[in-house]
Amino acid sequence: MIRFLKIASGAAFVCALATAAYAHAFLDRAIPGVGATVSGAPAQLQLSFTQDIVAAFSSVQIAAVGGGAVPAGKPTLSAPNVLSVTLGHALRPGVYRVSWHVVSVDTHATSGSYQFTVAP
Amino acid sequence: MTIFQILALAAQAAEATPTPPADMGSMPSQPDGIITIFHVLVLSRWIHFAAVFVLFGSSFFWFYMGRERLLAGPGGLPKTLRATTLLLRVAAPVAAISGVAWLAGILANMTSGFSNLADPENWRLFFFETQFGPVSVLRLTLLAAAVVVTLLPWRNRAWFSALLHIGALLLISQAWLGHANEGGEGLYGAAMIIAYAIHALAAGAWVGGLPPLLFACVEQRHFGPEDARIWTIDVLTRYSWMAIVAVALIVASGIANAGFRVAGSFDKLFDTGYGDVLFTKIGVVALMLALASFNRFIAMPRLRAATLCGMKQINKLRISVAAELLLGILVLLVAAVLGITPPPQ
Repeated sequence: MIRFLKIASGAAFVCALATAAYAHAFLDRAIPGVGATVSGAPAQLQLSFTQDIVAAFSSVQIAAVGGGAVPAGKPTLSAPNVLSVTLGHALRPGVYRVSWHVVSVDTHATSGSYQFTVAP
Repeated sequence: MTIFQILALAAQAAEATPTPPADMGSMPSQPDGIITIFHVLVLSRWIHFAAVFVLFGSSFFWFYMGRERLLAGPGGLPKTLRATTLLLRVAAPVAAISGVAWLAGILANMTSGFSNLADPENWRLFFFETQFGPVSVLRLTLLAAAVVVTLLPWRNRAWFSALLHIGALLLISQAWLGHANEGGEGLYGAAMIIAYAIHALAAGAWVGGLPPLLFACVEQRHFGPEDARIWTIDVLTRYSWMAIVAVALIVASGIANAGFRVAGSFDKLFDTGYGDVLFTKIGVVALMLALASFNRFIAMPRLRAATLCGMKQINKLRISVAAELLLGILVLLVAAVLGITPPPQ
């Protein structure tokens, strides 16, 4: 029993030292930022997630609020947890909504959206 | 309470979590319908876990019970052997079917709909463009191998050894299809995989060993009272030594697994569905441990001291082992839900 308690407490100690890994990928930060106002049209979007993701089943769409979709390339991984999307043309001033759907390396799917503004 | 009511409660728990800021995103909403992707994932995972636990644990049983159990002579358990063989022959195809259903559920969840399963391109991407694709191919190969092995006419140690190893690989490879695969490459990711593998193997040995143990307790009814008492004590002693080691590993690796999931957000555990499911699992495992402790430290000593009333003690033990098995099956349902519930962020 004492040996068992030693093993259990050892495991607990190792875990306490460990940094938590987030199961399921959630949006950590984005460029342009969530709710941010930027001056000048961004050439690409970067979305960083709390976990490594699978590019093959991930997608990002961008559309002007009250307007049409903005053409964009297929998302690629610029880091294991970062999706980059090259925009098809320069964004005009206005509010844009980015919608994303990703699958994390633990097979779980998540999705969400956010807005940013391109200042005149 | 019906299975659908349990699943409805589980779905509520899973959807109640996590509670990240709205901009972080969320799990895709489940389309309306009698059977949702969540139901398919939970049911297929539950059945698959149970079937693979049988493949591994019920095969392993014959290695710590000693060679004489496979024979028809004194101490042999021919009826238990026949029942276990039949169980394994059922478990292999059930594991294969539920394993395929699990993969289909994963793909449907990734692509937000069952209709996307009909597109071969999605399957190509799944198997060849994802980190878990090669593992999925390996698992399908192992499941096919299990079915082929169970169709063979042998019932010897080599047969059990083949199923034991296939079952072990299936349990270990589950790590790449869930939360344990989130640690990435390197030491941290490897530690998560190892902790999961130890947990699954130890739990498989414990719960998967219960069906043949129950068969053996039933078979003792056909022995004389003294033989039944002696052989039951021997079988239970061997099983309980294995179970003591397994439980120690389950608890240690379970603490490690929980630490990996919630180390940075332990305070949020009590307000999330993940916490509810985790505490339910711990509660049911605690009940199993209480029953196992009763068998080991109260019922067995009583049986050792018993004389003519030995058969009555064996009957009580049989009921206790059956109850432990039912609780084990319930734990697998909770584990099936836990694995697809987002931990607190």
